[in-house]
Amino acid sequence: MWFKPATTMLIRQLKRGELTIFLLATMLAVGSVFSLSGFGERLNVALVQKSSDFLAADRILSSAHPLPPSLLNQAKQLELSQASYLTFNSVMFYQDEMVLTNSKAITGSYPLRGELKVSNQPLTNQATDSQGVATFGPPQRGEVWVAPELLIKLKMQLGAIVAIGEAEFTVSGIITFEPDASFNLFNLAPRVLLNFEDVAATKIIQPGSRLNYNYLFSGSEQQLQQFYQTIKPQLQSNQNWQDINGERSPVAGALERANKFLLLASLLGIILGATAIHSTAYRYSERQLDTVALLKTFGTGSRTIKKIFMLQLAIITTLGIVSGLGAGYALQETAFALVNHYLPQSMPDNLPSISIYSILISIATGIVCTTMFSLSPMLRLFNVPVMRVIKRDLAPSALNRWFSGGIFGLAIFTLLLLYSRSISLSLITLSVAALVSILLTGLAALVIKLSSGSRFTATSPWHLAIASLQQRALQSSVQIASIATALMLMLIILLLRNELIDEWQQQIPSGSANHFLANVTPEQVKPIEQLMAQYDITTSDLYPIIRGRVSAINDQEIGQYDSESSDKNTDNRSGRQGFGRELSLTWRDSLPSKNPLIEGQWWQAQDTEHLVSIEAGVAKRLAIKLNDQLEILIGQQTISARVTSIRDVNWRSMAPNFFLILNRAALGDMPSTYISSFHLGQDQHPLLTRLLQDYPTVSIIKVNRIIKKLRQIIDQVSLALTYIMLLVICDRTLVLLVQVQVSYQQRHQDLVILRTLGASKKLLKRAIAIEFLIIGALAGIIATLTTEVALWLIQTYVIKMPWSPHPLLWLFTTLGASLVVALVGTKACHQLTKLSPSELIRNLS
Amino acid sequence: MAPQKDIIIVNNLNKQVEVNNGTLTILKSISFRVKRGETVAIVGASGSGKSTLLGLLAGLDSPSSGEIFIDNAPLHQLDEEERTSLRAQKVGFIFQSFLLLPALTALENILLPAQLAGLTNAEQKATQLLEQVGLSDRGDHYPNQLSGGEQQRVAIARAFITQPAILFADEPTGNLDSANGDKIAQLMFALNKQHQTTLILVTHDQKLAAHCQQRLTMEAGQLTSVSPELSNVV
Ligand SMILES: Nc1ncnc2c1ncn2[C@@H]1O[C@H](COP(=O)(O)OP(=O)(O)OP(=O)(O)O)[C@@H](O)[C@H]1O
Ligand SMILES: [Mg+2]
Repeated sequence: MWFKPATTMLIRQLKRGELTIFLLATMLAVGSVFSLSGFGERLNVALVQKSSDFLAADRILSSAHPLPPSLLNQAKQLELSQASYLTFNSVMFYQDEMVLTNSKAITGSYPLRGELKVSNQPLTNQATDSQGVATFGPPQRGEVWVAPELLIKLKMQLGAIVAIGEAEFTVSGIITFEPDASFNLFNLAPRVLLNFEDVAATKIIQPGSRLNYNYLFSGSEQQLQQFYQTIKPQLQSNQNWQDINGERSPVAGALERANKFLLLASLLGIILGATAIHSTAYRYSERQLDTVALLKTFGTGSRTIKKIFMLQLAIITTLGIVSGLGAGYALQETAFALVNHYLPQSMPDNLPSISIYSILISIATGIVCTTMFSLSPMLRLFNVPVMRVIKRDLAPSALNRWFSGGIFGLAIFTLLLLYSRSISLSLITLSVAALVSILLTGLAALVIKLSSGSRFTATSPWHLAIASLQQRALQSSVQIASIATALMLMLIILLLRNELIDEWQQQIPSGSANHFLANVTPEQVKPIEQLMAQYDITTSDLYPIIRGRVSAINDQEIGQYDSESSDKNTDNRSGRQGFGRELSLTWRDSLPSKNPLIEGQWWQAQDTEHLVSIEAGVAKRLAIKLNDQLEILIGQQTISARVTSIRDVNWRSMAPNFFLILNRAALGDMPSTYISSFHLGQDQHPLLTRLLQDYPTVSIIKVNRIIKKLRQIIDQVSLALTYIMLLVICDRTLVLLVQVQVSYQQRHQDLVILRTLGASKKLLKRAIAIEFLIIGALAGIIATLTTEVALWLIQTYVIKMPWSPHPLLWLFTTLGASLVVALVGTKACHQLTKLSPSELIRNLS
Repeated sequence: MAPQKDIIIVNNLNKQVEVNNGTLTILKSISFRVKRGETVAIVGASGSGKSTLLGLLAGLDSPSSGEIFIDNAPLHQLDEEERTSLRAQKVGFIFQSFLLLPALTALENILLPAQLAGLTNAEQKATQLLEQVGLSDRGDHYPNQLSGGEQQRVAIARAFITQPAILFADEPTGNLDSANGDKIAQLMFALNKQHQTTLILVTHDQKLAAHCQQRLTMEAGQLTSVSPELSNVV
């Protein structure tokens, strides 16, 4: 009975384009949420997979004891891939030579992620990591693979028979790349890989040996989570579950920030999309007033009327969601295609599939948007007095402002909550948005008010335009405010992206050190520098290294302090050695870069008192304050030093990092070795061989491959961010279009009157163009102003860096905004100005 | 109880509205009766309250005091939902501004009330009515493709499709030139006769008013003359 007319009306309205904007706005909201959440999630999965190379697995469970088989069986049941390794230090003997090595006994198809490259041929002068073939699993029993420098140090060739403990092994391969090789300047023993089955034969492992078993797992995120949940209650204090995010790597940081950026961009996008939907829903309901009044006159009951509109709304919602999902999917795929194309081989082959979550959240967005934002306009619509059919200007009384405002806020909050899954973040975003929109609207209204004073004459397009703006002062200011908000968000996201990318790039500047030298004796420093100079290489960051142990704080012995946490991190987590153990100390006259002081002051080079600067984390853990006195045991000698500063250390940086740095007075006379770093270019590899041959005691730590990989990942994330930014900009532009479109309707009536009064088409066209120019320019100015304020706030209080105005930004935003808005606006009103007055009148009724 | 032959009985009807500085009386003690099948013109100066009265009679609005009986139903005692269903059963409408739904074709506009009321063979009736108003070849045209007179003819066809007992028209020819106005008037009276509908129309057109059997003249919210004088006016 009501179904047929309802669908007919809807189909006709769709065909006539009356619902296009509403539909577009819904589609936009759903599409952008879907593409952003989907893209973000998939990018994250892809990058985490990629970054998992650094762990050689998705997760590692490290333990001081072997794991019970029952636990490993659970992993098996969940179909997780498994491997494990045990690391220990041991001495390798070859003929008369011996060297301390760091052995890694592996099982299963290690590595589960990334690749292990082994060469069974002598290495050439090429870059080491370009040689060898990808290998999985351990060497044959009775065989070992060794780091290239071991061959040089032990003066042996492939095929040599070496001894580790009581077992003998054939050297059958050279390790050219190890995915999870650690960057640890203080654990320098060269790597040996052997089969786990051979460990017993070496008889090195004695009861009581301090060991670190690492169990590697990989599989889907869901399987991994499930496994973790089942084993979590069984974990002991000396067992540690790690993923790439727990890694103190630049990758983890980049991922974390990229995700935050994405979240921020999406949240702001959601708010904007929501306002667009709200205003289009309002416009739509406004145009339905006559229909509802007429239906009531026909004697259609209010329940039927509600059903009719609910059905229409449901259909529009469905259409919006379906098309939004389609568009969002296309955007995601394009994004991935772009990223993949740009960086070949950098993404995993099997792209992670679209997550159910992002589909669900997009659908929910569509439903919340159309229902909640249509609620108050619809309620108003249903209240239309039926007398409107006779008294045409009768309109339903406005709903209580608090009520409709409350619903609007609640709807946005729901969306934010759905998306961010964080109440506090949603609340903050919502209140900031509310505050900003009130401020902006006020500002725009003020500007419009100030511009008044010119008398209305129907002959100048300028006057017409200004009069039109003032006549709809509130609408105009809301319009300007929303365009300004869209612009502002665009600008903030643009500038923030640049900041982020800059910061990442700075972490690993090109040409930064990719090799470190350690164990350099004082006598070797000069000749090594000379050798390097032959290859046009200069060393940098020369640090003396002295081993020592903090034995007391303010005369209080600390002995076995913190032994548990040191157990967990026996060898390969950079910079995490516990404080109870022997540490690498250094002395310096000046504060190392990227070590900002949190408290206290750096010393003068000529200070004679023994002074020490301590890393913030350890200071907090051991409750060490400024002016505490530390006793440090170095060899047989004990020195006492006063804490004069507390430093922040960026453990993510590929630089020598120290818990304790002392001054020249304290350590200057102590015997020490040195570490230094240098940048090795593509064709300078022969230097490495020279160094190893001439200075067998010196250790070389290569981080070039890691740095390359980090750069790749950072490039990828940057690219993705750029893409997301473009997406957001497109999104915002569409919102702008919607805003301008909305004003088209409002202008219709005015045009009719003006045209009937005899205003020429040309005059009207100009007036419209000027009006939109003014709107755009005002929006541009307000947007730049607020962006500058926001950036000033962020830079002064959050990132703490000097702020400077962006004069060009003012120019470009204002010009760009006014041109775009004018173009779109005149285009939208083009049709109206083309029509004759009588046609206009007819369209109006 | 009112005698059967009176389809509309109005007793001492008053309408006041709240305005910002007090109450404004729009209609004051209006009483009259309309016989079944009668044609009635409400005339009077602009602002005299004609539209307001029409709205009250059609149950679009409720009076401040007084009684209105429509086909024996006490309209003044009904709530909005009840008035709505009364309209569905008994009332048809023609408006000065036509009020066709722009998204529907002429034929669909005519069909709409019938579909909503769940009438049988609505399509057939609609086509028939379309023919009667002389627009059988314009059925699939949209309102903005029709002239004002044509739109009003569609509106007339729409008003008759539910075969209402009473048809209300507020200045049906007000937006039309006199030639078109005459045509609309003729059509309205013809259909009215054929369907034996009671017709209440508000008009400024003296010719149209003269055509009606009864004329109610309004002046500043009051009924100043009822002509021809009715013997049974209370
Ligand atoms: N809701 C209202 N609030 C205030 N005044 C009203 C309201 N409705 C009607 N009026 C006033 O009541 C008077 C009668 O209005 P009405 O529309 O009934 O006049 P009318 O006779 O139909 O006039 P016209 O011939 O111009 O259509 C007018 O002065 C009008 O301004
Ligand atoms: Mg009137």
